[in-house]
Amino acid sequence: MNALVADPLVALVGNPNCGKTALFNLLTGSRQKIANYAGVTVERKEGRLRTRSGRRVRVLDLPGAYSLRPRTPDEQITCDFVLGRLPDEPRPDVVVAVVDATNLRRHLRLVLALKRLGQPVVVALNMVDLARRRGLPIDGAALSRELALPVVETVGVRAGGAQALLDYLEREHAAAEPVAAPGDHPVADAIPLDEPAAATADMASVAADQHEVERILGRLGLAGVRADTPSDRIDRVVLHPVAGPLILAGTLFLMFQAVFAWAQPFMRAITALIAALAGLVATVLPAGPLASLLVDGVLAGAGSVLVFLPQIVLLFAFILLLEDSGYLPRAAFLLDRLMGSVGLSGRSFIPLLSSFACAVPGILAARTIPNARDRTVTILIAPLMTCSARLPVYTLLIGTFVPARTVGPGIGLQGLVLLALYAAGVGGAFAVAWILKRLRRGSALHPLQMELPTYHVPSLRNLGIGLLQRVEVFVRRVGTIILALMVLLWFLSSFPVPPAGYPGAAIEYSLAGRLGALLAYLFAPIGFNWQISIALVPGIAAREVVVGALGTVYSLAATGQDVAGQVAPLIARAWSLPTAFALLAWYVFAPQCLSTLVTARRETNSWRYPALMAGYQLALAYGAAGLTYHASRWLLGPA
Amino acid sequence: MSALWERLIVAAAVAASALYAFKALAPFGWRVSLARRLTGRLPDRVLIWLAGQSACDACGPRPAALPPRPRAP
Amino acid sequence: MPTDRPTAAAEETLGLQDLPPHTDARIVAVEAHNGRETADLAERLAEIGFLPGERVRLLARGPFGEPLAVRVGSDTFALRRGEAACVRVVAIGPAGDGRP
Repeated sequence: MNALVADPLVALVGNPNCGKTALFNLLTGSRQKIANYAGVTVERKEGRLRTRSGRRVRVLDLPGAYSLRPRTPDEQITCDFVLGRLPDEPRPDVVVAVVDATNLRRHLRLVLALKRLGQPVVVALNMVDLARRRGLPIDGAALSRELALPVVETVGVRAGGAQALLDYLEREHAAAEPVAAPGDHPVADAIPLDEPAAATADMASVAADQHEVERILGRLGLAGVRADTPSDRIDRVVLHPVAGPLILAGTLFLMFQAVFAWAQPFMRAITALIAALAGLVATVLPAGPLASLLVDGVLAGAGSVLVFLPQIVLLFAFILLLEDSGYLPRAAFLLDRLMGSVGLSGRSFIPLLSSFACAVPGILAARTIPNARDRTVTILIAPLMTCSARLPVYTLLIGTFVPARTVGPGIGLQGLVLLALYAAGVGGAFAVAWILKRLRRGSALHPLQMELPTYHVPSLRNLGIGLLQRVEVFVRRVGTIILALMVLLWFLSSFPVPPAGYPGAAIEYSLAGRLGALLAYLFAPIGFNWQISIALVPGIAAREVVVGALGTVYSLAATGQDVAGQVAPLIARAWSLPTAFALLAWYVFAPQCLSTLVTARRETNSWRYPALMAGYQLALAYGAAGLTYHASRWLLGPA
Repeated sequence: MSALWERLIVAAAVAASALYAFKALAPFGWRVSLARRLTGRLPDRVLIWLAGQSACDACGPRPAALPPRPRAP
Repeated sequence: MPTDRPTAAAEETLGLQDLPPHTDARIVAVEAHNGRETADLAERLAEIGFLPGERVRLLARGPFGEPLAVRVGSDTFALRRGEAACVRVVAIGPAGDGRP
């Protein structure tokens, strides 16, 4: 066991919206890792950087906090971490207090609180470019004198904008001894979440801090700073009671149309690529188990999921853009009353919107909701927000069974159906929230206190990094768990091999075929055939697996003419419209994501809520599918 | 490529997939106790890998700390 | 030119929720109404910048009158009516600019 000197650990701390995450991205590039704090359910974003001399430094991005008196679970983490109260986490060697140079008035209060902790603190004066552009007299050296802390200037969104910080870390990292100011009681400065606090005493200390900040600002000539007016002007329109909701609806509609329409050429390209690969395998390898594994298992299976990468990229791009620009809190503002009618608050909007991309980060984002009940309800309904993993299924079924007609100028029937499915998910979620609201009494005031940050032109660099991360996650998911499940499904669907002269398709004789036939009894009332039934089994792990599974199952049953990787013509022949619609309805609600359930378990610290989640979603799915199936059959007449 | 090689490759792929699926989907507790029971019979690295990641790693957070290495009795 | 009188009795303090939009005002007090919950609330409001002496301005109301978008200092926050009610303010006219 060699004695390793641990790389120095730098923690980024700051108010929400100080540009901390952009700075973190700048420092670590894509060398980031997302993990969990051991024993605690909060995401840990850690990255590494190399200084000019080649020294490695670990950087931790902590959740934004307004003060060291935590109100939400993620603020609690920041507070605990900085105080060294997390059992398995080391204390940081350096705390980088990131402040927004255009808004020192508020951000400096946290710096004062951090200073009292007695650990090494360096202030990163971020967004100096914006401040200078607005004509604010920013003088890092003067601020450093007033605060008695080192100050470096940073620009989180420009390459090289963190050089001053890097140089500082390089110079000072060796001097990692904590400097305790005499008479300090660091622990007393932070109050745990459930300890009663004497309101007047704390208000007084906040006011005292504010006086100190104003004194400092006065000395720096920043006392009379007016707020940003371009943002105000935009808000006059965006928050207008009539124009606002219209803009919101338009933005969301644009997002959905784009995701469905703009991705098409790329998806076709990927499909062609997979078909070409399948052809290649067929020519190179003789027909046999290996060729079948590659063509029917890997390419038809995992490949048909990979096709949806362009759509997922587009969806995430929109969400990241909206987030980076600062528009999302405005949307939450407009929807707050509406969400209040079902017992939620506007604060749930952002976690729920994130769930449109993937419910796992959405559930994690619920940590920013202070009210425990709101948080639980948000977590319970998050999976009903149509996540990106449903897109492959929706696209496949809509593309195959809904005619590509135009219903109005620029509005296609297929896009409308997709929108309707999204609306059904949201409607279902709100209905569930409303029921939960009726079941619980209690008219406690749900705090809102949501910041509306200044608008920013979204940084393409951050967008690129964020997208790359999501693409990596998606490709890794396809390449690992989905691929593994597809190989297994292929195996179960190919063996045992039927004897020569078997009348039906070979797959019906296989293990999967027999299992599917059994499951089909359960699903026959809602119109699912045995292929769908068997495909749903691996689909429990991840939703998009069903597309791959259908690909494998039908590919194995296909005759020679069909091109591998194209499920659509196969199911178009085999399914009736009511079956397809029933599967769509099932998909709106069905709990088919193990990751979501496990994340919910972690976030709520019990199995009760994920069990409840899985249970009610399964019931809704079965009911909706059954209703849709029988209603469609009745409306469309016998197929 | 002879039929035997083909079968071997396919069998290996299927076995690897089964193992991976188990590791990714089975509850953490099960894997840890399985790893403990297999201590000494499989290399330590394999056991740590088996017990070391959660179902979430496909699209979510991973535990930062591995469970303590199983000790030989 | 109205000058600040020592007694607050003659000045009209409103709850923030009653402030007309786009009117500058100055915070007089941030107080809890009743019970521990609103005490917490008042403290939290102070932490995000609602302190006596700060300038505030109501920017917008949501559809159905709630929530309120409030500019305080250099920040903008969205508050419920109940939260805004904890903040007592005095409207200041254009002449009140920059008075300490």
